[in-house]
Amino acid sequence: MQNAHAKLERHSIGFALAILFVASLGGLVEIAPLFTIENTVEEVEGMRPYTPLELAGRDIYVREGCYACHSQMIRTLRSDVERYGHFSLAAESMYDRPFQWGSKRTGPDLARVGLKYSDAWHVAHLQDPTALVPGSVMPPYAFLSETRLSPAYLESALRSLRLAGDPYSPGQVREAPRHAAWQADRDAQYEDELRTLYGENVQVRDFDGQPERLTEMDALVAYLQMLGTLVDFDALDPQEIAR
Amino acid sequence: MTEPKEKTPETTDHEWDGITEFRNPVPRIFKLSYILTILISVLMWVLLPSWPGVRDIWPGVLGYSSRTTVLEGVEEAKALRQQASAQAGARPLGSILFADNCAACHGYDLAGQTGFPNLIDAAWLWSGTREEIIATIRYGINTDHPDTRYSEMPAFGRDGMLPRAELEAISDYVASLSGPAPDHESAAAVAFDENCSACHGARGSGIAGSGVPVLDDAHWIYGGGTDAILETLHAGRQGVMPAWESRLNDRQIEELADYLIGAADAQGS
Repeated sequence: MQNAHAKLERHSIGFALAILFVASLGGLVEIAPLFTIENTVEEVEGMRPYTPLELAGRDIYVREGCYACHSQMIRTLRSDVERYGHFSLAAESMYDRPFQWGSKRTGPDLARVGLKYSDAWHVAHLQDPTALVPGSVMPPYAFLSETRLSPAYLESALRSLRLAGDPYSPGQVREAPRHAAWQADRDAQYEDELRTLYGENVQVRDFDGQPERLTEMDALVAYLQMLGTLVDFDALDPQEIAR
Repeated sequence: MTEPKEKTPETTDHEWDGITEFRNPVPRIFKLSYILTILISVLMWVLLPSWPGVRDIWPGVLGYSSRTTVLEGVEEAKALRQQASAQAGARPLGSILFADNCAACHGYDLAGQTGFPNLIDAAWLWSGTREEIIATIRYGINTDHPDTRYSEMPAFGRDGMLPRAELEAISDYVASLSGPAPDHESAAAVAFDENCSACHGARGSGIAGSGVPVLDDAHWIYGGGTDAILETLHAGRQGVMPAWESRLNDRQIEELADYLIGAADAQGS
């Protein structure tokens, strides 16, 4: 036994094969679960891909680095569940590329912030956080209200996601910039169309308090207001999530 | 004093320019703990959910799931609180629930902020009884909930219902209503009577419990200055109070309502 390694080290092909075997174990552990991803993601009702406006908001969320201070992952801990609501499901991140679970909470978790506050609160808070929450260390994002959203890029954004496997139809891809504007329409003229295209849980209204223009604030608030609201927890099968 | 016994360690038999390499074994304690960790990991695979299979995940002999565990823990805590609150002198949870959920808009002092109503000024939009407060918390105002309350101030200016000059006159009149001597004979007062009194009551005295603000008192949600009132008249207001039914359970909503009534009473006395 003491000399076993000496034997191995003197046979280069055998040694190479042994190295290959050991190294492949690490790969196996990381790669094998990817092939079973379909049965790790729960089957839930209500999950849908992001609408173009929500996607634009998500891109702003990532661009501004919101994830550095806000997680989007309610852990299976009693304190988390009591404060933020039902723990996050794998299914709720299925259209996130990349996911926004985060690893640090300087601010609160945002996984279920959707519809917890009004649009007006989100706008006022993003413009000047300390005015509404004394002692907050969140920086102001007032410029989002002043920056018009350029929705043209959404067509290629949806096309990329479609290539990656998200179930967008060619029509949804083509019309993405127009759909983004539809969702922020004050009079919700195209609510029925958007709900037919994306699902019953699409929220259609002017989000930023400026009905006459489409801003980045519209997109970000639309994104925040849908976070954690998609899954229908009443229709959830307890067997499906108990693991 | 005895000399330590001279011992020549074994070498690997390689030699480079007279340099040789010892072949000392790994200390036994390290080797044993290494083997032990491997054994423990195998044990854990058997006991806990671990390896993915073709259809499902190996659930583990113990049947442990952090998800069911946390749901049980939440239920357990709920029962404990129920038990505790039944005892005399129990500390109500309303203030904690308020800080977690409501303070962001209504302020930690409950005094509200511009756009978010003050909850301790005794000026209730929906009459302020326990049942009404519970209904407001549960269903919200202007939400997508089927039982939501509706409260909508039309955009008289933006939607072209009244000309700008008339709106300016009305906003001056509305601002004067809470002052010492409003002029109820002016043209603006007549315009108010025609356009606003159906909801806000004659001379802005309000209609109790209708959700419409009283205009002849000192309590304002969006500000009582002429400019703020003009903005309200121009673009309308559709303030949203979220519906909490899906977030808070019945008992938590009742705790919150009791907390609000207590705080408002304390302020009034």
